[in-house]
Amino acid sequence: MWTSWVLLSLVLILGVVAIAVFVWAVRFGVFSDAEDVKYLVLRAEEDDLAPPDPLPQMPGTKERNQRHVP
Amino acid sequence: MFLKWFSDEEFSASKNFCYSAVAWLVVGVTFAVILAIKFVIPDFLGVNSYLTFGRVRVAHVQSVALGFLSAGYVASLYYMVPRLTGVRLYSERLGNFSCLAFNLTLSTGILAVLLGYTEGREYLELPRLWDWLILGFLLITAFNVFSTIARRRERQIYVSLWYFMGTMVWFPLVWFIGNRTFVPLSGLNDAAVNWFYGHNHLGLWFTTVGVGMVYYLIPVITRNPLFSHKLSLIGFWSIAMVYAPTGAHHLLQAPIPEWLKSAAIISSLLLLIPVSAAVTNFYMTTKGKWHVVFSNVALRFTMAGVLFYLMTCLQGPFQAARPVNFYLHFSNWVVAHAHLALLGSFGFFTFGAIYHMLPRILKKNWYSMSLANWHYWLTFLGFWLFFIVLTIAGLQQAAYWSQSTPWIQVVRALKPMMVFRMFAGFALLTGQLIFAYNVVRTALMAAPQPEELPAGIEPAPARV
Repeated sequence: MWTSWVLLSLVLILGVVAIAVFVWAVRFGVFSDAEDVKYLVLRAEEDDLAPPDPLPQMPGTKERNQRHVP
Repeated sequence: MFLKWFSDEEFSASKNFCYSAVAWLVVGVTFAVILAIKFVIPDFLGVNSYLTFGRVRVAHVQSVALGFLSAGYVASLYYMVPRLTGVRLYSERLGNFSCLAFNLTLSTGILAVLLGYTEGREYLELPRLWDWLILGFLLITAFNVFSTIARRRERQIYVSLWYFMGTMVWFPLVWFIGNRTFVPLSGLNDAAVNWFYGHNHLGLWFTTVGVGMVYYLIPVITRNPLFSHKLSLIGFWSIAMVYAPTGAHHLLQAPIPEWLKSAAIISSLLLLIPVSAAVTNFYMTTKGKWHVVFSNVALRFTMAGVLFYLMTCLQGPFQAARPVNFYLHFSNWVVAHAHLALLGSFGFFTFGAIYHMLPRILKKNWYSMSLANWHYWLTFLGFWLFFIVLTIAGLQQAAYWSQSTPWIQVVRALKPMMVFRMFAGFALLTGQLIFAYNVVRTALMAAPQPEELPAGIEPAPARV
């Protein structure tokens, strides 16, 4: 029986994590223009890829936004 | 230091995973044909313990699920994530290292199974050491994927990336839990955890990466924008919310808590939401471009996979209903359903992805589009024969069992079906051998001049 509780807890944790990511994404503006992003895939095989950056960048940093492709 | 031995060439990790997938496909389908022959000629290959049905079946499942599909999926991740983010993969060397480690791990794991070392748990048969090695592989892949996405050039996140990111969080966790790495269990507790893994392996790895791949392939090949990105996000977030508890529907006849069974049935029904969102989007995006299916083998495989995906996901909730499950459980119907999902849906998605990616990675056309068409039709028709035969066999079995017919009588009655199944296996193996030959010849073919590079959506055949 205790295994069921463990599984239920894990299911709830996964659900809470999913909700947290969703809320973060909404606040971050990822869904602010949900339809425009579908055109991105049409350009996916046309552009040359940028070389990797020397240092990791977290999403939302000023520098990354400056490189934003409209 | 060690990683410097591996290539840093763009898309080299994706290419090597493509080759690995094709190699494991041939191995896995060969095991499958041995099994199909054993259903007709039980003494085939003698009484050699290494090649008994129980061991070869596990080798088949691991070769196709972990070997072919998972390698093909990682190849797709390492190709599509850079394409969608506009930056190169975080580390091609790490990807190539993980490819080598993955192949060594799986080869030795399957050898161990054939030698009789197994945990004896469905889909989790590899011994414990291999559980940790594959967990390490998944974490490396997740690290490479997330590190690439973190450097993306686009603020907005396309739906495929949502599916890939979700998977790379969920699946390592599902693998960790399913392999009992947190605590040893026994009896029904173990069965509950086993099926938590068993179904989420399908739903939070094969489904989520596979659907993400299709969301990439259809718009890119047809040059139609996605029908509705909002609808695709509804599909993603609903699958994130409802998939996890479905596994217990494999244990509806077992004495596990009733509420756990009910939760599994309800979540199985709720899966119709993400499925209908995805399939509607796939078909509506293809609207006006159906003619491309006839000329482009990658899109043909993908759209056939979408059809099989729809069928799988209509069967799933139907089978999760208690009376239906009681009637059909343990019969060949379930085997047909499992192959509809893994070969029909996700296998076809992987074929579509490889047909699309490999010419673009190698910067040359396929050696032969004629062979690609042969591969498609042998696989498509071979699979249909296999699926129909096993579905009928399952209904026969269920009907006999409901009347308490003696077991040996049921075995005799099913023999014609097993013969058809064997011939379907021959067709499938022939198709995969043709595919592997085409891949090898394409890889060995001399690179074309720049003006002959593949352009647009349909690579012209190099030799017909």
